[in-house]
Amino acid sequence: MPLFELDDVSIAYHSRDSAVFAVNRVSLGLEVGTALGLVGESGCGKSTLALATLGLLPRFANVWHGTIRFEGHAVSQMADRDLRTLRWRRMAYVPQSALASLVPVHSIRRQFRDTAAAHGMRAAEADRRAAELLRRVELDPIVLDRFPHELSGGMRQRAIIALALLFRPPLLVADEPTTGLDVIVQRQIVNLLSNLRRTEALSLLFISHDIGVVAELCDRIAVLYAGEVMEEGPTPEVLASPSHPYTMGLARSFPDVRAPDRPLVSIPGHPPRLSEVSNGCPFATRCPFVRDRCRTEKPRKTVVGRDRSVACHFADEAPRMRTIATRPGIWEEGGAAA
Amino acid sequence: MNDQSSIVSFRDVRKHYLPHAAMFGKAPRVRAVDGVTFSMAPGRVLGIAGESGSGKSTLANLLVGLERATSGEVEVDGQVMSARPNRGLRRTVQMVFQDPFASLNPRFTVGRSVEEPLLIHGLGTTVERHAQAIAALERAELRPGPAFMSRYPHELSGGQRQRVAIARAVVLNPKLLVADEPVSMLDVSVRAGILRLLRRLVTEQHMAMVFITHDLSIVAHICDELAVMYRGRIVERGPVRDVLRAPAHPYTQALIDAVPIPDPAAVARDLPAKVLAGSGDAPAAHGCPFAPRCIHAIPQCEASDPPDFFVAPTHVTACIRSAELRKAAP
Repeated sequence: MPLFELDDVSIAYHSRDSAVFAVNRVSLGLEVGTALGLVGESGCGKSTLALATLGLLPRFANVWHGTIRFEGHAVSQMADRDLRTLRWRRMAYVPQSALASLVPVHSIRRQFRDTAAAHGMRAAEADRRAAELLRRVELDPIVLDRFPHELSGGMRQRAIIALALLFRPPLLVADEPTTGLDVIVQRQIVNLLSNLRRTEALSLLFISHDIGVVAELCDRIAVLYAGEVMEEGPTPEVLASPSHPYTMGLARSFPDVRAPDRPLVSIPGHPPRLSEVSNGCPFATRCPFVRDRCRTEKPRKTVVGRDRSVACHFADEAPRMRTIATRPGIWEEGGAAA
Repeated sequence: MNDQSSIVSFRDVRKHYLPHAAMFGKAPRVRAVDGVTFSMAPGRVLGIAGESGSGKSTLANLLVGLERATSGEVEVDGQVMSARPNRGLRRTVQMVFQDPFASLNPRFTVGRSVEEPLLIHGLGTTVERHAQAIAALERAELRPGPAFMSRYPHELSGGQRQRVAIARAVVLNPKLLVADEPVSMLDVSVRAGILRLLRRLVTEQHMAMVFITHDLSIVAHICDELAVMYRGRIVERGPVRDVLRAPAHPYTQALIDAVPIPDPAAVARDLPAKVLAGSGDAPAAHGCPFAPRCIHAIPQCEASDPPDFFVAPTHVTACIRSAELRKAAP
């Protein structure tokens, strides 16, 4: 049984007289001890999925359809009181902005103690565990008596990771935990998460726009576009031979510092707004391989190879499309400036 | 270095800040920019790469005249940049900022944002300004230009907003464009388009561009030359591909090795623990600023400021061990 599972999940944001879907019929799973990377651009629904997993959707949003299961519990149907017994103890969250998620007027020790108290751990135990965890993330336990503003960005992010591990949760949900950090600090955090995965048997739901970080950290990758999964599978295979045109474009628009001469692709146009509901493939408006059928009929999830799936009508033509997709010119047609 | 053809020149420029505590004679000065020298010809793009605190944003502020150098000389288009440059000089230098969600007034139409620099500089009639704004939008590949004039920023995607910001910067036909992390807030799939646009405008309008970034993986796609800054100094400078392929300074090497590689088959290079550990806050007044983190450091590194060493006629590094380290490299 997977540790956590999304089964045909749609998530709606409601306004007074209408609703828009940020996530559309997504099915994904995460096995114990593995790491799943959710990649996509702004507005693709990756953060909404993270919040829904933790039962932290804002009041005006809900899981409209489908079920989110964690360790057999249907998180999406649980009352908040019951969710509180899972959060921190069974699954913890590492947000993007470490500065915004620590209380600025409390010492790090106080933040550990408050979290511990809220979930039934004594202060003495919290102090002991905090010192141990800070060492684990390569921070000197003297930072316990420091305030967030006294720490550098990398130190704060490590303190947050330590705090998330307070109750030894089996699942860590990390939303862009390295975005905004300097590259060497980012390297520290990636190394740390990678070590923790091994030593603490952590499972990881890792949200990022950065394919490079996902390539290093995650066993599996799911590529999201406009609230739908375009492609999913083992990271090495998906990145080495993408089957969805969007993955092909995204992978080629991501620069590789070791290959300065490889041309960079820019995908013309921009993702559809949430309010623009399409009956077809959401990527159809930007896809260089688009055909009539793509605009009118939503592609079903097709299994390709071992443990891989893709939502494209023409998945069987992927090898041909991959060859064509290496020509940057192919992406410039269509004209619309991004 | 300072021939007639250069549009920008920095001569041993320093910008030091006094922290508040220094009024009582205790805290050391912050050497945000500490002896930087370079010059640039029109049509060229110089990348300035470095981490936060390296001084790259202070350098940008000096270039556009928002800050005045503590010592040394900043010259743009043959005139000395001071803290209050005259209007003519301000016109020759324009800036593109990182965040197109913050840099455009949400209550201004696109047309008003792009016309505003013309209005400030008292250029043209209403009709002429309108026409120039449309032309600038079209140069920024927002076509048809008239259709964008009456739109508001919230109606545009991030990439389109950044194009509006670029149109606003080039509407005055500047000779120098300073772009401070212009693609780091944008979605990956539209970044290459913005980089290509900037490169094309530099060539067509015969501008020079200083491109400030923390991301070494994009510099090859926009810059001719790359300067790597660390703690206020340029530690390495040269043609962008030479610097990336054969970095001559241990800090440049560390920055390159730290970049995640979007290829799962590749094995990421391990960074030495000493480099990862960071170097505390207060650098020594003398010596190589990177020495406390450098695995190749020897006592001489901390004894005095390293001079520039030529790796090639256009490739310099401020590392006294660069020659022997290159020989030792595989």
